[in-house]
Amino acid sequence: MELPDSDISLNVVNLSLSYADKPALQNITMKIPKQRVTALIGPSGCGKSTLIRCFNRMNDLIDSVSVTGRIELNKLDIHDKNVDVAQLRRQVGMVFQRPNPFPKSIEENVAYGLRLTKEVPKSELESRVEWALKSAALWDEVKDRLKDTALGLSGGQQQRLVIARAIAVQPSVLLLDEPASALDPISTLKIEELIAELKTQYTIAIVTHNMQQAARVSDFTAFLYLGELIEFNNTRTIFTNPRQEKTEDYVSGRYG
Amino acid sequence: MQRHISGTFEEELESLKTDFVALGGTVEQQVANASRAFIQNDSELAESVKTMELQVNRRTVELNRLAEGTLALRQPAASDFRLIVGIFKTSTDLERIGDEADRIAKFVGQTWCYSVNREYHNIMTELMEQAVNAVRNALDAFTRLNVEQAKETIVRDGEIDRLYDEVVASSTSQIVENSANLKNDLAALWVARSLERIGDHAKNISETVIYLVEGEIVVHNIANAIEPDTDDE
Repeated sequence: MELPDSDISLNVVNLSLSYADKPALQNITMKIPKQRVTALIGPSGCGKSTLIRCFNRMNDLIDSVSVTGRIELNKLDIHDKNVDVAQLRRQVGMVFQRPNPFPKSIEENVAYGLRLTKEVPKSELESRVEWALKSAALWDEVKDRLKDTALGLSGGQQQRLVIARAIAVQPSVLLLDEPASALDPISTLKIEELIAELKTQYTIAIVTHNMQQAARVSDFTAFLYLGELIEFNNTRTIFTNPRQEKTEDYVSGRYG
Repeated sequence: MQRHISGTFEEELESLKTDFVALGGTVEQQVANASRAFIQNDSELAESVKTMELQVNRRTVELNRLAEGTLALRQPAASDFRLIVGIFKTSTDLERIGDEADRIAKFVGQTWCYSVNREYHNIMTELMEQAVNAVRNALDAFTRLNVEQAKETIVRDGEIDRLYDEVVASSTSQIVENSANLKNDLAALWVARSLERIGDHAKNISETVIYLVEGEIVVHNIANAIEPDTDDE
């Protein structure tokens, strides 16, 4: 896949990572395109979650991790010593498998990051919260109870709230690690619909165990196996006519 | 390629393939019987074609139902997905080949038709042989996923078209020269037309075989089959 530089959000070059002496990622090179959805699929332990956690340096939190290679976000090396990791994580937001709202009101959850950065004047907080909740397709369901605790929302609503919280600080990339695997089918569809809308503004990388979900929501799909990137191609090719036999075996349910 | 983790899915695909091969075998027999019945004016054999036609229609519906179920419930991917698509496409071709065989069989036993055999005997015999072979080779290529055989069948369809044109030319001149045998000449035309259609369906099946194996959609042009489109983006 050849992309002009201006269309690349994350440029991963020869990335290897190991936990203590155990290699988890080996020589990953891939270009994640801007304002598209890229899905990472592969069997458990293939390194897909480890890979997206590299994109906002979440793995820094683990002592035994060593990383080699390079990751550029909009052409800037994210491992550069001048990079403020907190700043990086604002640009690269993340949503996890289990919704993790703070034990605060709905409104405060979304405003949390904005209050931390103090970049948005107080007078504009309210309108930014409304914007984020609307972008996360949650506004209509919560607009009359913004002061209520976020813990009273359903799982699907909580997950959309967490997405609203992530986009409130206007990141450029949104990382979704199994965002719908704890949700019922209808909530899952709502999240998928939301992903389709969000990609017009954000670059999205999604890790999913659900291959049909990857097929439904993504433009590009990367298949990882034992820490290696086996195939990275447009999603249609991966699911109808993959070029690598390993990919074929995995997407058709033959991987043993 | 490895087996599927799900044994029941593996069985489902196997039974789809088995049913498909059985349907193909019946259709191939139908074309062979219709051709022989026409050449030999054998009414009994022609009757068997009509009986088989009912079987073919029923089995096509059953096969499509089975494939529909697999598509909806298993969400097959990659080559499994292409197999299901291939079965949908090909079952339509098979069903239509059956219709054409039935159409040919309907001419058998009509007194005015017998003389058609005399006048057009050689060319019609050849056309029939070619059509039966085309169906056999296309189905063989499907069963073995043999792209070379499929391509050969596509190329050979040109010969069937040529023979058809010959029948059209000679029956047209017959009609112009002597309209007394109009019915004979028209029957020759109709039968040749059916055989030519059978050849086209065999060609479609062969194109589907290329899609099954290579994932490339080939239509109407052997050049594409030899140099498949490699747009990976």
